[in-house]
Amino acid sequence: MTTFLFFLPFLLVYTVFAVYAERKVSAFIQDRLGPMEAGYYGIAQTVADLLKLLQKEDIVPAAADRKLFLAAPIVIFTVVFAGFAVLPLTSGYAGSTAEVGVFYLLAIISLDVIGILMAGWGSNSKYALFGALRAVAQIISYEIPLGLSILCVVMISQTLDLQEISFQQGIWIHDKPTYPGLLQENYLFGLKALGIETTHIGGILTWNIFRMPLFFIAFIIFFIASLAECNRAPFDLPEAESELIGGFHTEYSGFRWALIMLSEYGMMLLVSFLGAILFLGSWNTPLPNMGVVKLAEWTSGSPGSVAGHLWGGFWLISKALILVLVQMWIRWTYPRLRVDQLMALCWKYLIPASLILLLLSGVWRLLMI
Amino acid sequence: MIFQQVVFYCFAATAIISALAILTTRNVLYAAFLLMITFLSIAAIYVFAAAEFIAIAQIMVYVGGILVLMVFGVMLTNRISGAAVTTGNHHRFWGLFIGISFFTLICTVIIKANFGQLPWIMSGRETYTAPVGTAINNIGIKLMTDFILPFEIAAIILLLALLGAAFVARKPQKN
Amino acid sequence: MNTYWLNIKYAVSSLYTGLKLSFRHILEANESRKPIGMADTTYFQQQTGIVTLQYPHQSIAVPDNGRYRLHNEIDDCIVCDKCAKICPVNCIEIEPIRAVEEIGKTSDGTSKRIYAAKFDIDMGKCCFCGLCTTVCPTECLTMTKAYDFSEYDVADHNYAFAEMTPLEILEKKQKLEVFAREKEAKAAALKANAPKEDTPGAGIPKPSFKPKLNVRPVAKPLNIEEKPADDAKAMALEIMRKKNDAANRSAQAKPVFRPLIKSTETPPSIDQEEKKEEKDPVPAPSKPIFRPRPMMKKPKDEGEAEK
Repeated sequence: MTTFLFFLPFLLVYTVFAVYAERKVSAFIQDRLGPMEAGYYGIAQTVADLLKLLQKEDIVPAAADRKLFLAAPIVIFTVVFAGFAVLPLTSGYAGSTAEVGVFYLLAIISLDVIGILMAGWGSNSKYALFGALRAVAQIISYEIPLGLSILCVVMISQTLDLQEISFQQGIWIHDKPTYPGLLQENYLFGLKALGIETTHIGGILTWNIFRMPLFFIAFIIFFIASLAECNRAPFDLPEAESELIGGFHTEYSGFRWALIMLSEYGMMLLVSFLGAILFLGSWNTPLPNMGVVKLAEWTSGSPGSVAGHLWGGFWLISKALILVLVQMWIRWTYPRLRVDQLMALCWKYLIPASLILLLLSGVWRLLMI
Repeated sequence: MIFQQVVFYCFAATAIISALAILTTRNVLYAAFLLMITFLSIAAIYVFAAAEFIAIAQIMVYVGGILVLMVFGVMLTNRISGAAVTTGNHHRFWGLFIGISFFTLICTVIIKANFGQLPWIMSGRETYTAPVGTAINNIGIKLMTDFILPFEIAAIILLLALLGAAFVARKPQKN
Repeated sequence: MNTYWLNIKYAVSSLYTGLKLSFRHILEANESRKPIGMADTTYFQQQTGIVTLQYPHQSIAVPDNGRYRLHNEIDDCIVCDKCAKICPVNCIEIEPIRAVEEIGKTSDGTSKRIYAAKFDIDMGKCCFCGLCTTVCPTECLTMTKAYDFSEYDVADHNYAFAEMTPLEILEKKQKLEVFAREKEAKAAALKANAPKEDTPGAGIPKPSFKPKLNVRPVAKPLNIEEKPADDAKAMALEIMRKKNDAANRSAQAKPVFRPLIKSTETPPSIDQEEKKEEKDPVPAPSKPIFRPRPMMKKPKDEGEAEK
């Protein structure tokens, strides 16, 4: 229910602004101005576009498989939106408290393929079908490095619960009632041998990316794989406007197309949230306590309090949105990969690297005890 | 409690109806997508049985893996041959007959056995204690202790399958 | 194996460079180009920042010698039809009515002997080659610096420069008819020694393209009645001769096209530019012959010879 109350409106508003941001970022990178006419500095451009899309005719191609064609956007959006159900938002507001949160998200990402296949097949167009085939090949391949890099985090955190992972990365580590076997204190770089306890220092030092320095590489692998899972440039082969004219959503128009776009941006946000939660300290503040200057405590309220909600939400959403911006920045910087390059990157580089990282994470975990 | 039961029966009904639809539809692709609904409903039923991990594994393996592979295969076959892939219903009478006989057989046996009164179930009810830790925690511990051998054998079989696939797919070597 | 690590190294460094580059552009996006034209000395100064202008709100100043929309100063037009004939896309349509006597002088002193019942330029067809302005003997047809003339209706791209009312047109036509009939009658009467009106033009060398110095009428009413093909050939030859003349007398040559403003002196810079442009055709004087190719017969042999 919390998902509907918070994430559905948030997702809609976010998409409107993300499309605007995307256009502005691309414009600035290319020394252009971007939308300027609708509203102050073009701020209402996306709203206008959305209104236009909603008014458009809902065209179903005559040769299309009507049922699949109509159902596909709904399936795609439902699947992506379902992913938000397990996200913790603040220290006291965790969506579904499922223990299998991380695993669930992985399953959700693989479910997305079904919707894309439905759209690609249902359109009965060669572009759409090519797009769908590419999407499936790409998403299935990149699930492996994505899963392995997530598994590294799971190995260190010893849990699949996203809220538990969040708690471990900050000064409120003792505030979650937990089961035996989990860490109760943090050390610098996770190494107990160093003897520098960071449990009460918090901030960036207790983020996963600092608890286990090799997670920096894991994060990059995760980020690359998540780009591929979202079909974002430079992995936008399934959409490839220049060769496939939009790929699996070539035949869509109006509201259904808007729904597909909404899910695409939703997917971006979802993987950004996941990355922020797994690697970048979730809703924990990046500012550490330094002696009497208790920055970490000042910039995060205790779990359950109003301040805790506000600070937690602020930090997590800002981290996720920054990651979304980075995704856009990358999109407008790099050219699209070729299919064989895409597969080579996944199978020859990312998977071996993430397998080695998995091994090292296991070793590191033993050092943390 | 009543709400949960309603939801449970909804999922159960969805699973049964979609399974029946798979049998009756002639379009193989529809059957595959209907299979997705069946899998998802069954996953939901697993969740009601407090087996979240199994539910997610069901989605992950069956829907995300096997089903996608099936749809992929159907799509490729269809596009290559150019004809729609359809199935026909043959031997309806015998199929129906055998199916119904087995169904009645199993139902009779289950009712005869009087499950609720079996001694080990009775004793289990009395001695039931909530497990320490979470389900996943327990699954992990069980896998690494009691079931380590099957777990490792499964891992080796999968590795062999992977190697075999790579071997089959590799380029034929010169000389 | 070595290439494997080299690939990774190369990928990381090039990806990093790319991100740095695009990030620099994001940072530079806080400043915009100023809407200054080529003439401004700082035009090439600003290398960074946003380059687009918000066109209807801002626009770059067009240089004074910008050559975009055509304009015909109808008072100076002698309706010689040269522009319509040289136009490669036939965007100029002229309907002349011969006057019975000289109807006035243009601002450079050329006599006007033809009324323009219709002088339409379809800017939708125009290819902006500027040939019409080159051949215009009185320089009444010029290209102006107006460039933003998009319309909602394509018919609005047709610019009518003639100022005659239908009534006037009718009147002039009738006058011409009456005159022609009278002349015919006269000619029949004085068949033996009446001076032909047509002859004087034929033998006289073509006027140079300096209408201001040349007081002699340039266009003869006769031209209009000639067949288009012959006319075009004659005109092409004429152009060629002009070019040769220009080559011979480049020192005293007049600019081929000059600004619309006739009273003021042309600025020196433009003058120089024009001279330079004028010299360009000199090295290949035979080239202009090819231009109105579809209408010509002679160059065909040459074309075949080339093949």
